[in-house]
Amino acid sequence: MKINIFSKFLNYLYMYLLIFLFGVICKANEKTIIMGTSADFPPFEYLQKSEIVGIDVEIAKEIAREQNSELKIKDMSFNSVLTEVINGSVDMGISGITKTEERAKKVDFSDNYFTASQKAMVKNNSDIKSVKDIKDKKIGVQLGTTGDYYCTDKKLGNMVRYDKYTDAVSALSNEIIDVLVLDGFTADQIAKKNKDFYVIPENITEESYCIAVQKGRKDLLESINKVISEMKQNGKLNQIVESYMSSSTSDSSGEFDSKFTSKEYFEYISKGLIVTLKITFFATIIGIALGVLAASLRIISNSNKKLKILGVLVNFYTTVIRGTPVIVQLFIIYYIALSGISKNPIIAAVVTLGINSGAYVCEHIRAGIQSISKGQFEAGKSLSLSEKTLMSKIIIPQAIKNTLPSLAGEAISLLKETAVVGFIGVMDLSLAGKKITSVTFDPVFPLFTVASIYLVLVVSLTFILNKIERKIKNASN
Amino acid sequence: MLVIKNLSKSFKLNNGQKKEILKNINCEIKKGEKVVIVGPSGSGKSTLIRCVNLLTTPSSGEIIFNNENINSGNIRKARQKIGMVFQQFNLFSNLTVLENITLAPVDSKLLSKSEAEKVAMDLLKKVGLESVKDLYPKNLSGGQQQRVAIVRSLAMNPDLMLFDEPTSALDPEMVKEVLNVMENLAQSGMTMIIVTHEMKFARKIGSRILFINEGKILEDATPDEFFENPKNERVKEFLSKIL
Repeated sequence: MKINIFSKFLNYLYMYLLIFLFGVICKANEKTIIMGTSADFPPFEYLQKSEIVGIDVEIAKEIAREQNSELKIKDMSFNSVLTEVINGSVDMGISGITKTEERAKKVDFSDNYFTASQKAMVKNNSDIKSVKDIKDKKIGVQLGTTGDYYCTDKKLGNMVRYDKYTDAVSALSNEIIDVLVLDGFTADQIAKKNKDFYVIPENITEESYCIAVQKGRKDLLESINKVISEMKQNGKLNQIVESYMSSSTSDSSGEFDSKFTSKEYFEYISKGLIVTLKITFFATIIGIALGVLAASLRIISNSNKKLKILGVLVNFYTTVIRGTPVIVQLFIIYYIALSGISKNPIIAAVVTLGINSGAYVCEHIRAGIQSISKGQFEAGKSLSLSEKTLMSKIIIPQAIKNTLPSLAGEAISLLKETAVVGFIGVMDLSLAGKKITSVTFDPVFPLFTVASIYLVLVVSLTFILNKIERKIKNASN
Repeated sequence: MLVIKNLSKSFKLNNGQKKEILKNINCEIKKGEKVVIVGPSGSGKSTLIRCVNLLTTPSSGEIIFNNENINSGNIRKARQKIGMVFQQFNLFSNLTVLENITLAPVDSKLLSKSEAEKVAMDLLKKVGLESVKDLYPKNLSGGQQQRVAIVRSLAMNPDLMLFDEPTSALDPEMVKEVLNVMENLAQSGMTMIIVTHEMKFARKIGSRILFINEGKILEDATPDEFFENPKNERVKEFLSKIL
């Protein structure tokens, strides 16, 4: 028996050993090439649905094909990329690495595959013809770009920093700024589409992106350079760059042409309008429901000492909501409170504006109740009315009637307040107008269109609410 | 029917001082009596009458109504039997005349809705206002409003009626119509406590006059005694000024 078990064990061991060896041999046959990168630098490398993609990844794929190897991507912090190239844990560092003398002492660099530049863009009729002329002009830059640092360092002109380059382009179009310093590639794309603009060809700043390999790996470096020059020659590199740039660096120039058709225009505005109306409608309902609920809780807590905590909670709610900006509330609800439940920004917008409006409705009702004469309460008490009857038949109906004008005002201000939802990317009426502006670079027409629509909405809403109010007023005393 | 024992009321003023409105009031009112409370402004007349149904909570003392102490007992039950008419009428502005009158008896389950409406119409007829039953208070004159207010209290079938300066807010030509209603009520045997400045009326229907000054009852006498032969110097001074 013992021998039997032992031989069985040996059999198994033998089998496993064979499988293991086979695996190792297979592995050895399949060559791999490891790319080290820091996947947080779109459009060169970034995560898309847990997969690392980007211009650098496309180049790396070509290199792997050339090497007849399988590409493995190792994601790490940017600081580690060069270290791992130096110690050989990755074969090549491709991470939008700018070639500098300092770095070239530690690793070998390939030929450059991309030149990141900042260029100056002006209007066609501008008297600025070269970079030298931009001194003392009003210069727009995109916040935190090398162009920003360059102009700040050189203490050039009068600077305006924009969060989004599209806003800066609108400003240039409207001659709020004289010149715009922005990413050269983007500038060329815009000028190609919009003949109003001219890009001064010289680069204001320039950075060469190259691939880093361990010092002394000549074969690898040669084959990389070969791939790069081939890709440059057959236009593949340009094609890759163009497709990634237009999908990620620009907000929307990939979505439309600068010649915006009136149909697209109408579609954008009407979609935005519907979103604005939807948000206003649902937020108003939530607001009134919450406001009435909060006001009732406050009344209940006032009449019952055991439930005093409810009144404290209601006060906390109205104080916090009315004491903080709605946009901050929107950010908190979207990015923190609802982030685990729903990523839908429209839901966050409705919830935020509903909660916000509820606090104001609650206060309006409180003011409405306070405006009711003490005699109404005393008459009710002297007639031995129950608290419930007194509130529901006498006080609340009168309070609502007193509150109607301010509730109507609340609905109207809510309609206008919905414009903040653009900050979390909801394409409402305001953002639609802004988007069109960012494509056509003409801020006048879209913004006035949007303003007029708001105005028409507010005026008609006021009209309707006034009618309802008068009807309710006439119906009773 | 009503006993007021050692009743005091004081308010705390904003400067922290205590202001005494009523000082140790004692008085007893029997069924069917019509007690008229008079006195200078600020003497505590209104506070006293408001303490009877606890619209104002006394600082100390007892109110005993129908042999029950209402400070500690069921105030809602007591209020069903104590009607009150205010200077400012205080009709419910969002309800019609009829709804104003029927709300309380139906809410207290004293009457069904149809019974309450019948009672209301009978009472309105008595005060000559059956035609305004579907109007809202704002469409009535002050005198009409006050008569409706009286009817509203009567619909509860009270044992005691309190009147807190019922004609002070009225235009002079409307005073009479309200006083007439009150007079008829008095003749029907209702127990009434009335705070008023209408001296002729007080003399005519009062069974007792209480004179209050600085929170104290200075005189408690029949109308004839009070007006012909007041004992208290302060009362003499008061009467000499107003008569």
